[in-house]
Amino acid sequence: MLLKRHEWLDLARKLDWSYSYVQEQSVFPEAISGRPWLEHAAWEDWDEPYRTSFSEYVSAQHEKEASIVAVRDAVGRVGDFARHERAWLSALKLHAATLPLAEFAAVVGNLRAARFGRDGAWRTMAALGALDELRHTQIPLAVLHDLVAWDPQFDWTHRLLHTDGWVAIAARHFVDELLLGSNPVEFAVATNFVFETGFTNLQFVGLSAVAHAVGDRMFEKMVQSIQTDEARHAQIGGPVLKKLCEHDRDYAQFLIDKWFWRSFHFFAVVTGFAMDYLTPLAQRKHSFREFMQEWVLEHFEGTLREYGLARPWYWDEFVRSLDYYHHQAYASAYTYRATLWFDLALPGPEERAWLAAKYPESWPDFAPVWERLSERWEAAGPDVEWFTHGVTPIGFCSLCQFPLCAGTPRENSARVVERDGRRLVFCSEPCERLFEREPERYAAHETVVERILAGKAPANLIALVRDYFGLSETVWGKDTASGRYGWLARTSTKGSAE
Amino acid sequence: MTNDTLMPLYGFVRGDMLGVVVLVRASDSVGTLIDTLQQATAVRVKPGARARLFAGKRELDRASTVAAAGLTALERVDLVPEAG
Repeated sequence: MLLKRHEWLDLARKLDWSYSYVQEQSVFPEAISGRPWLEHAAWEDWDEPYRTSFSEYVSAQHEKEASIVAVRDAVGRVGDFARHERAWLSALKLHAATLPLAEFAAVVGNLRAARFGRDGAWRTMAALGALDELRHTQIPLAVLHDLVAWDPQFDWTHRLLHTDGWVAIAARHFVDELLLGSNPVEFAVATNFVFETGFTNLQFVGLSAVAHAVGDRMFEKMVQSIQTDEARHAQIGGPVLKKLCEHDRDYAQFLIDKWFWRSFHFFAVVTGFAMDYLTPLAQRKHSFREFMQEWVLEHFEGTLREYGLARPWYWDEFVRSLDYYHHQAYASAYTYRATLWFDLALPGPEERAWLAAKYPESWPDFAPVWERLSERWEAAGPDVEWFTHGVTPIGFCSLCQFPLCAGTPRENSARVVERDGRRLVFCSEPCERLFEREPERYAAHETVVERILAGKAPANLIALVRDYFGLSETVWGKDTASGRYGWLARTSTKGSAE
Repeated sequence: MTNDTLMPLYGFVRGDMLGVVVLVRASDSVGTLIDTLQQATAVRVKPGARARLFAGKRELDRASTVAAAGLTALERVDLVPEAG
């Protein structure tokens, strides 16, 4: 007689056993499984709500795969992408490059949890999570890397994390620690709870809505399909955090504080650029700040309260940075666009009016910079990219590895710190404090500037971009309109652009 | 360090978006450093007719040299442009 589903399911997904010839601590060493180390009895009530079997998982994923292929056949060809505005294509290139190899690193993190997670149900869900992340590696490669013959910038879908470009260095610094270096406890809190539940799960919902408005059905479908997987395996985070709160609340709070800040920087650059600058103005629904306030802040704050955890100590600084950080990062990126693999748009008068309305407090600090750049484009004429491009090397944070563009234009929050005879620079107080909490994790890493000063990377910007970042002139980022903006002559302030 | 040694400094110009790394010689004047910083960020911030330079809260005399001003490698300096 066949067992009914509810009779066999837990035998399949929540299988554990007692050890007779080896100690449990040898099977699950704290150094690999994570702390606090507890007997399995303390973990055996661990569970998650999806309670999926492997055969159910395979059936569901098969349907999702078939759906992706069908959409790709219908609306995922070069001609379908070619009709989009160049700025939106840049949003795709940015996401395309930052997704697949980071997802592949998440395969490793999940597989570690599939072996060293402390309960059978946790290990089962992590094994399915590893299969999810493998899928999330393959989908962007299949959909977007295939466009490389049409537009060589799409090669960065695969290439980014194999280069030493500054974004790649920052992304690896974040991803390696988050996904490759974390034990299953930290991985569950950092990746499943903070990054996926707090950021990407909601981001994918918002991003698919934007893609829908833009008319990009392929990207919309891709993001939706990935989100359904994320929503499932992100459920690992909550039960692990709950257990951590019961046994070591301070450590739980530290992991939340650390990974919320680190995730935010990464998220602000990728999503902030897309929402406030690269989505066509007519299709913008919410600003990045509005999205963060509605989807991330309120949701995340509420979730923290459920676990009895406090908001991170830097919460006020974080909320203030929603008005500034991604704007400073975007203007910095625009004036160093040749160091990137995608093009950037100069916001025109209507876009600036929209940004001014969405960011009434901070935009007056940014408007002069865009006016200055507009004047220089007008003075130089179309195609003269270098006249609106920086040539001086820039500083990078010793923790997050992003440019020193935190704080405000009136008061940059970077700080130089002496440590073991070495001078480090941090973009912000949270980055400094997080470094000081775990210096053994970060001290050996060199920023781009340290590599230049050590003779490991060229100081000349052109040589740095070509030889070290791996970007050729045909690929490196340019202005999306090459300076040919109809509004430029109409709105000129005729200011000096010396 | 000799007077000809190039020394990197982290420079921040008020109104700008990010910190840049400029190279100066110990024998350069603070005025030269001010000009270097203004040129390094001119793509985003219009150079001021005058400008003041600070190391922490200490304002630097533009006539003194970088060495005499006590600046050392990878120190932070802040420039405040002033309209003419």
